[in-house]
Amino acid sequence: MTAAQWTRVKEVFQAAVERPLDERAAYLTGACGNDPGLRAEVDRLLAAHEQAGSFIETSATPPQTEPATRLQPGDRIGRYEISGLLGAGGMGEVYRAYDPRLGRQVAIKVVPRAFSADPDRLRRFEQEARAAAALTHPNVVAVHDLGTHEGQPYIVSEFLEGLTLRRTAAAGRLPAPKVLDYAIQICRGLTAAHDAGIVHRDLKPENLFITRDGRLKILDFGLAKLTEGQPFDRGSPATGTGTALTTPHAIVGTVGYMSPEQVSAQPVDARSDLFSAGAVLYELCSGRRAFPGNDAIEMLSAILKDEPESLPDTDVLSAGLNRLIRRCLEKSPRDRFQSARDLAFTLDTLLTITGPQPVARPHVSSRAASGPFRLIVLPFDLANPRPDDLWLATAFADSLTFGLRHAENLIIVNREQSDAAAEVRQLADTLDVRYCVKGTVQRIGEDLRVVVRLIDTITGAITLQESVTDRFSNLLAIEETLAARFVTAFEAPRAGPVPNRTSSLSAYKRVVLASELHRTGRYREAAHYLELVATQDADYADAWALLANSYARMTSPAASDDGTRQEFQRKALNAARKAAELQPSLYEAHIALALAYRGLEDVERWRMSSLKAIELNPRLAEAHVLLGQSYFASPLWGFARLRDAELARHYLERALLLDPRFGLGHNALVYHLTWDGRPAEALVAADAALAMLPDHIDILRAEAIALLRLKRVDEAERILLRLSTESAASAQDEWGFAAIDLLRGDHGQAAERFEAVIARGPRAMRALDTALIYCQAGLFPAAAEHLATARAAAPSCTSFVSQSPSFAAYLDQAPVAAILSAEG
Amino acid sequence: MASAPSQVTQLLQQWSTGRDDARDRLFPVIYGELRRLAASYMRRERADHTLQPTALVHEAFLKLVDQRAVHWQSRAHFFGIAAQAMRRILVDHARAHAADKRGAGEPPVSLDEARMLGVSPNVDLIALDEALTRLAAIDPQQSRLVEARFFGGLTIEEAAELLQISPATVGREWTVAKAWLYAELTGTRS
Repeated sequence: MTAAQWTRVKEVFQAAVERPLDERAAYLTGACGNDPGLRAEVDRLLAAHEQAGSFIETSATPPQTEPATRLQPGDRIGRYEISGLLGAGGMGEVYRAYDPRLGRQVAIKVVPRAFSADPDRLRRFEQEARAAAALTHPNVVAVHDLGTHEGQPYIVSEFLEGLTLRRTAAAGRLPAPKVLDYAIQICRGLTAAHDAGIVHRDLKPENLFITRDGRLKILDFGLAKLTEGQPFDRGSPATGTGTALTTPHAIVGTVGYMSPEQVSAQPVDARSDLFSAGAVLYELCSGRRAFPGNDAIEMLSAILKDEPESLPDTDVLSAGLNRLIRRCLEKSPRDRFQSARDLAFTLDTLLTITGPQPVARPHVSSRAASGPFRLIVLPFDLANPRPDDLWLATAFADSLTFGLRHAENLIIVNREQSDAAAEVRQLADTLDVRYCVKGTVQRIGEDLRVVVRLIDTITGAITLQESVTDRFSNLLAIEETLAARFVTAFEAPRAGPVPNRTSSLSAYKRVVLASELHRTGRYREAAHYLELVATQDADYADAWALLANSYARMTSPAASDDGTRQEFQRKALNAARKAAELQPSLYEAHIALALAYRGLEDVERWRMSSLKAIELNPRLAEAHVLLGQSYFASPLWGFARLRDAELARHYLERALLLDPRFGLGHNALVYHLTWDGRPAEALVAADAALAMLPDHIDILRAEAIALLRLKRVDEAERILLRLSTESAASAQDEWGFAAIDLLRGDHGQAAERFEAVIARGPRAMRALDTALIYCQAGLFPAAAEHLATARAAAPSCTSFVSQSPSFAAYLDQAPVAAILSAEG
Repeated sequence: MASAPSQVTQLLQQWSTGRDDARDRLFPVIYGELRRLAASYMRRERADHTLQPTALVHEAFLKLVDQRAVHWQSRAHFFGIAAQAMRRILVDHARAHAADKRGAGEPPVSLDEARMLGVSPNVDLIALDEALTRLAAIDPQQSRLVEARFFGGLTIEEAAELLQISPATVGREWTVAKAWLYAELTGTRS
């Protein structure tokens, strides 16, 4: 068919489709005239149109099930009982398992058949793996056993908790002292292996594991034997990676760290491992690959030909590291360190010169002042106010905040009640804000006079001053004029639609009051006002979004009971949908949707709404928190989600970088760390948060839980008592008191209190909390009972439990294990 | 890896200033990132999670693009390329899967990815891919539209932005493309 014929077919088809069925035949006869080819093609399309239904209407989707070959919890390999999948990669799947003979947790790597088909290669692999199994060194993962399961070789090694170096360093480069620390540990492990005559051959960040206590372990000695030479083995199409060279990124993980002698298929010795170690260390120092490329061929060519870009010598330590990394990366093995021992010696020297240095996590507020400017808008002062005018102080601050949010070179820091009285200088120090906006509102008869100043917190100078005088009834216009002038002053206003506001001054006033109530956690009262607004102006998207947000906050398991939760969830979703419908580009609408879907445990929509909000404004904190929560390690907000502790932490920390005082963000981080099995870190995070936001109820609550996890009962009790004098005791607080009873040995009282709290719901989450505290108290039969309760309420919670770092230490306890393995 | 975001952002900027070669250089980066994301999803979790290509594409955008630095039209450009990359990933997998069934040939995607990426149960992706290629010969815009919507998960509005046509036109073009493809795949006769 020619393009011209096709254009004609389209025209006739589209016109026919738009006509009622009974008029089509006549139309077609007229339109096609004496062109039977055209008529036939249009008829064919019309027939297809009628039958097509939802064909390709939903986008391509992934499979719903896993292949059956994967081992399931409860399956056995040899004497080992599988308890779950830890991970899967090109070299096979790794399971967590239990060794009943020695009563310990182990990790089992099952090598895919594709790699073990060649008996000769398999024998060499076993030889090497046996040699590796003989190694005992703190920096080499201990291999306990080898075997074959249904034709697939497997390796049993010690069970490690932590992350691979790939994940540890995912956020970019590491500080030099940390790199030195890892370098020394890699060298020690390699020295032990090389002394035993074993070359690793596949050193890369994925094979270097950092345990919870910071020890580095080298994984997978000998495994490289299985795949050796394969990427180049074009002659044998049966190998799994034979086509990888032509596929971008397919074998990058391995290729990027190969030594030149491996790339050119020369004999390989211990010095090859030193090259790979150098490439890893280069990446840790710089956050970049030593030998980058868009595909395997580019990388291989870089390894053979290119010198890695040199790294800046910022101090003695980094200069020393750079020098020895360069030496590791010499193309010829002759020019490198000749042994891991030599390299270790040089590293030790570097350590004595520079001394061991503590490696601190960067503090959230220590962000450099470059790039986008941080700005805070303070409540306005009122000159000779009428009692009825107090809300104007908030209204102007809110509308300016809202307007400035869309300036791309600004990050707006949320204000707190206490800020109004604070000195500008003090705000600059504690909040790292560069600019502060402050204004005055004055009533003059029927007029309002508003003066707004932009203050540079570094110099104290007034950088900009704007004033507007107009009728009070033109309040909304005054606000818009001021916001527009400030946005212009910061240039780069975002190309986006202007928010739909209301034309009703009284509706607007109610929204301002509601947002103030919302800010202070009085969600119920806020919702009350906003329901009234909805009857005044049903098209006010901002109001719907805030209403949805208020209802969603009321569904928090910490704050509400099962009965009311469902009602609030429904209302939150309806209001959020309404807001998004009225104004699809409204950031708050998507936040509200994310909150509503979070409450409903609809993880996919929850993440999509968060992502959408981030896209609309990547500089605001709340969407990052919501996205982070979708990867939480905790049972809060359901069990259905994809858990990833590091991603959760990443997004939460990003949120706190954007807004160091986002209370709910701090609260989320503390809660997350507690459940990720890091209560001590959670306490550090809570302290940092409370330094910024003293007396924040949610953070105090989260801190109490972390303290209980550490069995610091008295401190937890002090916090809970204080909370109960300040606000009505929430279910969460009640639970805390029950936990205190339990940890103090008052089992009877504890049991009663837990019972009551679990009844308030959400059952699964509370029962799981309770099971964990019973585990901590060593009362496993009671823990098992609560696990059973949780499972009855939410069957998917067992997979959560078996993967949760918090429960990890208790999974072997017979009553707990029995519940987890029992049929649901 | 650290250079990827600024690289993609830069290429998008270059493209929007009319440098068409930037487009060709974007493809491998976005393609690689999508595959990497797909693989990392698989490592993280198991059977109970389903992966949406749409979510993958959004996450890749978030990771690769400094959103303060690009015009919002660049977003559509990015999604257009990502849809194309997603098409290749899904179709390659479908081919590998088909080859596997016949007991011949080797998957061009890795074992990990093969587990991750699947086939819409009602659509023969290989046949769809071939039909799309034929459609591109007579109507490139329609082919891109289907690619963007079906493989990239773009909404009508986003596709309109990508193709620089009105949402109403997108709706009409979609109806034709859908009917034509359905006819091609099922051998519908009038």
